[in-house]
Amino acid sequence: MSKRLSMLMSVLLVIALVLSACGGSKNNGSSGNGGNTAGTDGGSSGGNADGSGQKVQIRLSTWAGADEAKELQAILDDLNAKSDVYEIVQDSNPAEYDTRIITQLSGDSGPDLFWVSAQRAAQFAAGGVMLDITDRLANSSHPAANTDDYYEASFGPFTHDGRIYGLPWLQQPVMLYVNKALFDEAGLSYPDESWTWDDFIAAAKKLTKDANGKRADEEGFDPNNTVQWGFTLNGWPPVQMFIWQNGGEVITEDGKSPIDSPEAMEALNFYADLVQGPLVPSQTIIRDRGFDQMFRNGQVAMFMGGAADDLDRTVENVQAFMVPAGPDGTHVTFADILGMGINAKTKNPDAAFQAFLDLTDAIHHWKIMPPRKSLADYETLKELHPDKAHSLEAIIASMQYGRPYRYSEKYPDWDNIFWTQLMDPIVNAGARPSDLVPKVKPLLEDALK
Amino acid sequence: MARSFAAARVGLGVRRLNAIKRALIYIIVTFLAVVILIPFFWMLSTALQQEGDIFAWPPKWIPDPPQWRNFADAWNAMPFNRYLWNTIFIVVLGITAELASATLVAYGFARFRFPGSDFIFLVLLATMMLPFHVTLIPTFLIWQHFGLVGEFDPLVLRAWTAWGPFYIFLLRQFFLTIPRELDDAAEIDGANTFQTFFLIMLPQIRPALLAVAIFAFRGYWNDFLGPLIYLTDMELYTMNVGMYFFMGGVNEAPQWNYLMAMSILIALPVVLLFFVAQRYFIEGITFTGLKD
Repeated sequence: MSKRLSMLMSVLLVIALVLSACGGSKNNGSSGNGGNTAGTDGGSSGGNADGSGQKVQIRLSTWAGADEAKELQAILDDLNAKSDVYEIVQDSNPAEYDTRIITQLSGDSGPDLFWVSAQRAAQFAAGGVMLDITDRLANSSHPAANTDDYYEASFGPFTHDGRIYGLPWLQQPVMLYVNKALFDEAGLSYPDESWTWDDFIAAAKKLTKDANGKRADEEGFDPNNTVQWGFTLNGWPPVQMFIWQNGGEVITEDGKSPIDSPEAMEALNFYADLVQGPLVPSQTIIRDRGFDQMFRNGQVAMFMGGAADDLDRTVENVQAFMVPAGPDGTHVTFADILGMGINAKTKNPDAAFQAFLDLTDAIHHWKIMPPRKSLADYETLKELHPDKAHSLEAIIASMQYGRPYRYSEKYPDWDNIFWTQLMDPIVNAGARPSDLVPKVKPLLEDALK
Repeated sequence: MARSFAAARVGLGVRRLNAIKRALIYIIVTFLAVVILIPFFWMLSTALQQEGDIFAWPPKWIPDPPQWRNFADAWNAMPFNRYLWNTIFIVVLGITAELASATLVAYGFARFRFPGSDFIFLVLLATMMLPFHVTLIPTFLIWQHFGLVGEFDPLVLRAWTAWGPFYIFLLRQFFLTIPRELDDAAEIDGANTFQTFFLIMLPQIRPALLAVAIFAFRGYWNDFLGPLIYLTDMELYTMNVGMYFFMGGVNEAPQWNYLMAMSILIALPVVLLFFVAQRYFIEGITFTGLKD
């Protein structure tokens, strides 16, 4: 009998332990059943109307790193001081942002505002995760709410079925960063708006040098003994940009992937020739010495990077220019787009929207490049970013040619096939596009169905 | 005479063979040790580099001059005092809960037979095969239901539910080695089940408790995804989560030297613990044939 009793006792004890542990801590959380409001949620939406209400706490999730988080906090402090409606609380961490945000949003306890990449924005907009702000924007006179002021391309990822689910705060076109000292040494003039692929290749040849000082367009150049390369590629910049410049497409509006069109094939071959040829370091060298690092220490003369990269701020003699146009002069550059959304489940949509607009506007005055035409002004930007002044004109000129990928819910699957089956073999295994494209095209189109 | 001479020669031969064998083993072990230590050395070297030298070509293995201030700068770049305190808080409460709950459950499985006890034990072991990512969202929703997301609670309270099948398994194996006669003797002396458990059984498995405590320390100290998902207030971050601020972000380059400096500081307690308590680590493994 004692055995049975003691068994019962131990079961009870365990249960008691568990229950007491749960119960004991409940009071520092909040109401039990699902209605989890974060402690200090004083007023409800617009609860400040009577003027006496507490400010509404608005939680903001971002991927900001150490320095970025500090700069952001300064902006938030400023906004919070000015507002009597909201108090934005920052929750930043660059680690596993997607896992984190998706987990938190899957419940009711997600942040009110969150930074979002273009790809995620397209998914979230389609999935109803982000608040539909179309009407709110239309009824607002806030400068950041004027949808006509934004570059059209930047809106794509935030629009679904004609409704708007977020605002971009950054549109970052790919620029051609140039080491001017190496250009001078080779007797080349700097790139300008008229540059096409041919000018680019001609310059890259002059900027590729072997240990004996012979350049790639000279007799006796030894490609096995290169010490300076004209350009560098490792899958970045994306081949899509070159296909667009040549008049091709990778995803059409009706879900086709015409990568076997003559325009796309020509661009793919152009890319493959570059990455497999003598003007670009081998992938082994790039991995060993660092992709952008080789440009930073003068082993590579031209580098394509986002407009906000620090290359022109931190490396001497470096300036950003427009990326070369396609053979017939078509200008397109890939644009990375980042933005912010409001949690569809936010408890305080009104306060959140106000904070959202103020913060979006503040970020437009913080980062390069704001996706708004009214801010794409040399004098304004020079004041905000004096250390990038010498690159600004080219960056502003690139904005109208910026173009993001055609994101959709199924895009990640498409993207996965595109990189693993097509680009990875071309970049890392020396494969030729003509061998791969016929096999990969149906896979890509399947992924979009 | 001749025979013993021959025997001596054979003995000498065997000894020489042994010496060669040992030398060979030492060479292999040294080689493996070097292979394993190179990343550690690289970590230390990076932690002491000036920012520009980290990716210098050819690589600079020995930082010149070593930037000892990287450690202090990294520590002060984010509120790591606070993060350390948060981490210690979670670790201490976590280990306590882990020990208290796992011993009870293990004792139950070791000493009490009840219908289906083997099956339940199997189910318990089977949960070891569930990857963390599978249970991530369901668990998150449970904690959210209790309104505890954003607090330390999910990180600490979960241990009270004896959620570590490995610890239970380990402790159960230890309990099984204790002869039942001890229980019987205690019972004859009038001890009830809890007296037997606390006064007789627990002292017997002290090495196992230490092993569990050490494993749990390592687990809580290194836990990254848990705090990352559940903590939504930057004030509550742990060391591991805080360290990730140095990973940079879009257009912010990672601060590798700070990252490595913090990695060293965070790895240090675990490495020291391993040297001090090596025996218990090994014991845990040899006893169960499992590595946590």
